[in-house]
Amino acid sequence: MKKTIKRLAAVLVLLSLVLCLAGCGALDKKREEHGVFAGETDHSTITFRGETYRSLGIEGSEHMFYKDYSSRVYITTPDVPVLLASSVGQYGMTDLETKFILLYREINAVYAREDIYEAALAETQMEDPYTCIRIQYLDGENSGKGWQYHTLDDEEEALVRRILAEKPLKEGDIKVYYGKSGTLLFESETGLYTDNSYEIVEFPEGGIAIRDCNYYDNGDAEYYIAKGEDAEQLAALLKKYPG
Amino acid sequence: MVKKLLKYELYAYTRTLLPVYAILLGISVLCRFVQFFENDHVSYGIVFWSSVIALIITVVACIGMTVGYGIVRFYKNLFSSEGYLSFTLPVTPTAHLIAKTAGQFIFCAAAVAVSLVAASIATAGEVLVEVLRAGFWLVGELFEICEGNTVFYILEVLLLLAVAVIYFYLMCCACIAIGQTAKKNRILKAFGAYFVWYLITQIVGTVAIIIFAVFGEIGLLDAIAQVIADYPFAFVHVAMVGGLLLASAVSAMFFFIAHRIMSRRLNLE
Repeated sequence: MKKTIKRLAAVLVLLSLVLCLAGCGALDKKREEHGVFAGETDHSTITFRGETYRSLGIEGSEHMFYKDYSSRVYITTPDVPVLLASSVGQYGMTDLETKFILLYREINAVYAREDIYEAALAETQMEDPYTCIRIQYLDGENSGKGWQYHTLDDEEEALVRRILAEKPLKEGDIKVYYGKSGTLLFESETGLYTDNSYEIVEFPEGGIAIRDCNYYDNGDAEYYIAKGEDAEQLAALLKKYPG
Repeated sequence: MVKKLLKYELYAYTRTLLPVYAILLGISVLCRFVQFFENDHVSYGIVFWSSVIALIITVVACIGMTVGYGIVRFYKNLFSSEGYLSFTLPVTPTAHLIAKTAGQFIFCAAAVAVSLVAASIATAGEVLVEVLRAGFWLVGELFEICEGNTVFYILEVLLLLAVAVIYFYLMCCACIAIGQTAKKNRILKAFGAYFVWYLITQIVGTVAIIIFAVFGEIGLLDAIAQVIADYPFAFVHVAMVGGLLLASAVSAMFFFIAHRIMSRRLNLE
């Protein structure tokens, strides 16, 4: 009996050592979501996935990257184990390229990755940080890929800015029923600020405009009507990149 | 004499339960082995979660069998035809009861230990390390909040768990002992005794709630709440020690009932 028990114990120990070699996907996923503050009270930097993120000294706002695809993160003090990060950590989000971390619960702060920190900090001081415009569309042939993005070239960007420079019409002044549409994304250089409040809308009876949805909640969306050649070019853009 | 009785108790438990523990450990190894093939396929998810559910069911079955075997063994060994042999031994009913209670306690602890080993095997590797880290961190947080009281809290909880096992076992022994005083349907009478005990506890609980309600009406509850707020750590100690003493007293009562019946009103089949 004792010999049997000893042999069984030896087999179990050996098996346990071998089994320890197997990893765990669920644990790896938790580690991917876990970041660590510099110290117990020092929240100036975060270490996340081996990279250092520094605080930009600003709070999160409506037009930050999180409007785009983002994934959650849990930031804790260094002593907290990864399994408890989601229970005791600060909840936040990071963008698709993990350039920024946004915390917006007990701590409301934005952190930028070290390599783009200076550029992001400069953008926080700008009045109009949006330096590029992208159009969001579905690739008809490969629609299974989901949303695609086309960055407007200089001509296309100039077209959009020209139209937006005109005086807009309010929702009460025109019929608001429209057909095709495409979302415009205004982005800053680093991607810290994104504004997807603008849409290209095409009216069924003819006519095309850029709609500003910033006032949509108040029922006061604004329409920048495109005229003449600008209207043709805008329609062509929407046809090429349908939303 | 108790030692010899205990030795044979442990032999009996080992003969019956060792294969169950071996099966439990085997399932835990299987559960860990499945994780070697981790991937995103639905089939892996089905197999993995099936192994986890099988492990959980086996843990529950293992602990249930340990408790159940102890109770069945008490009945068969002392109140069935085996009782004729047991009571011819030069051993007092007290020794019998102590040996059986100790055997049950030891193997309940063993069942829990084997379950923990099984859980460790099933999570062996990084996951186990992280689980242990999380456990130690939580204990550390508890030490920070409760300071020196933490060690005593842990001891009190362990004692409470131990007394709970002994309480449950002795309650079953007392019910079986009461049941065997019947001429027919002894097991039914044992269940009846348990039901009566359950009723008594429910009545006592209801009376306690009524008393609390009366306390509330006359403002005594506010005073008690104030004391708890002023001395939270002491209150927890009082509650746990109070629970321990109550459970111990009731366990002693069950011991006395079983002992009395075994020594004065034995009615073997």
